[in-house]
Amino acid sequence: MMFRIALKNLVARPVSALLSWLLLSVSIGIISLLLLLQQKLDRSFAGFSRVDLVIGAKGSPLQLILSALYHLDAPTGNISLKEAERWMRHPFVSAAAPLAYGDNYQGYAIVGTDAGYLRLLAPADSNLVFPSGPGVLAGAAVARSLSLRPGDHFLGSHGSQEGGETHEAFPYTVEKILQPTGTATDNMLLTSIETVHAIHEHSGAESAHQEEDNEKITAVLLQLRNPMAKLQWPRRINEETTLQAAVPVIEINRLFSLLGIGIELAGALAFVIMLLAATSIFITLYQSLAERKYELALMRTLGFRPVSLLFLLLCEAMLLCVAACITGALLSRFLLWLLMKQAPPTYGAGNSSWPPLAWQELVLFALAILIGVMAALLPAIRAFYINISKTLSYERT
Amino acid sequence: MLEVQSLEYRYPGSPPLQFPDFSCAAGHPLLITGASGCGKTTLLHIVGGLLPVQAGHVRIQGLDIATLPASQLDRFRARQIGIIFQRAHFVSSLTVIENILLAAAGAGRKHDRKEAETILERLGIADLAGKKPAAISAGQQQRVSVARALLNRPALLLADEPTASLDDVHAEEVAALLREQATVYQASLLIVTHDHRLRRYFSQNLSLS
Repeated sequence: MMFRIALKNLVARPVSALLSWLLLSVSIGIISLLLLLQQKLDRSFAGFSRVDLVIGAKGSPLQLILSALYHLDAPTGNISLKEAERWMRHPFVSAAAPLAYGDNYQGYAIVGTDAGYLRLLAPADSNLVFPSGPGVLAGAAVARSLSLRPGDHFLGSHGSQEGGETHEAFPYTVEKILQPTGTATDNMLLTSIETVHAIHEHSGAESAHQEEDNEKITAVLLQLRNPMAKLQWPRRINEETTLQAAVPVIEINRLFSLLGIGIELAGALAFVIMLLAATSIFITLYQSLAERKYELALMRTLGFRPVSLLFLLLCEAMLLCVAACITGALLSRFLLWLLMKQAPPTYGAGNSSWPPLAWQELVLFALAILIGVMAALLPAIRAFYINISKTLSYERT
Repeated sequence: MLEVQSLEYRYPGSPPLQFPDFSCAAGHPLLITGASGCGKTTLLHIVGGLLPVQAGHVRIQGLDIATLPASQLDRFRARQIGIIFQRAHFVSSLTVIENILLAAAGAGRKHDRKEAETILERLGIADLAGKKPAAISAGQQQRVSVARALLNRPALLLADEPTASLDDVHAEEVAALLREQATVYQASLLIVTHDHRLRRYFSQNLSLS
């Protein structure tokens, strides 16, 4: 009953309720969006947890990580497969994957690699037999957006961007669709190193006279079994060879510390808006008390207990907060969807799935409702202590 | 049956108000008149349990209401006393019939929409059921207040200046309605007023000084 009256009271004063609801929705939406982004980054980061070291051409270590793991940047250059193999076959290495970039199919990267890639970045499919020849393993998101099915053929085009020269003579064949990983793998087409090289030897003049023992690759991903190697190898490789080694954890943390200020600022701003919302709820309820004191006193004469009136006002604030939690959560997902639509397809952090509620969001909702209840507490206490006789007297005013 | 005995009330910083003894039985409505400030509303609020009994006795159906703890007094008032105020107060976001049913909810009874509709019909305001209180006239509002006061079939009906804000025609209507319904419901009816128009309709008359 109180619940229904609370709802009707809110609907009967839509303008003031609207302001509180909007403010609260926006603040919850922003914080929830930050949480979802954090969750996505954590998830995609967790997807790379097996990669201890990335080796590539000299250049920016962050660029190397972003290009090799996230496909967010151009590769730093090429390295010789022979030189890389020295490290890949080292006894300290428990898993290694070479990466050879080159072609794309409708914007999705075709990457030459081997079974090591699956062990490192697609553990759910690590027991697959890695295809040879023109066979391709398609990432889950590519397969979905291009409707690829096992047995389909397609032609790659040269370079990492759409619209390059098409390799007419070498159709690829989709062999299998990979399980979704939540990482850039979902947006990639995996084939063997040999296939990538074969296509370019036959098609391009620039690599026609490339020697067999001087094959180039783009980068190497390594998982190390030896903890000392994890510490020493980056320095050793960077100082003693023409290669560059970068540690994903270090580079990504460095990137986050740069972005962190912006994220914290957005979060702080959202909390300020939430406090504004609380103030708005407080003012709304407090002001409405002046005109509502008669009906509250009347409810007391009809037998409602003081605690019922307390509950009624708290209920109104809580209803607003719950409504704002729902719209805020929807808003954050809409914003995330917009962001993901803007991002290049290769960003790929499992971007098409509708994110479920994170536990942090539940904490956020609880916090929002708590703040709403706190804002309503003073007006509610005044309703609790309302003097019925004085309010309903006309002789004595 | 309402009995009032040696009742006194003192507001802080004022001389005590002393009320004459009286009783009011079902079928014999009592009109209490007096000038503004003589304590009419105070008397009504004490009898209705809105102000505490400081000295003396108020018995309703033989029960001394001063002996009831606050929560039981609220429940007792909800079930046994129907109050009609000078200005009709409503929960403005609820419709007329919802406001009437609020009396059932306050008394902790099951909502019986049928019962509320029957009362509205009997008072000739069935067509107002779905309207908001703010959308109906003062005379109609006072009728709805009467309907709300009657819903729980109280033993005692209290009316505080029920006709003060009404014109002659509506004042007469509401007075007749109160007397008639008190008889139908076998409720004691106590009206406090300074409205001399009402004296014509009620034979029992007590003047406060």
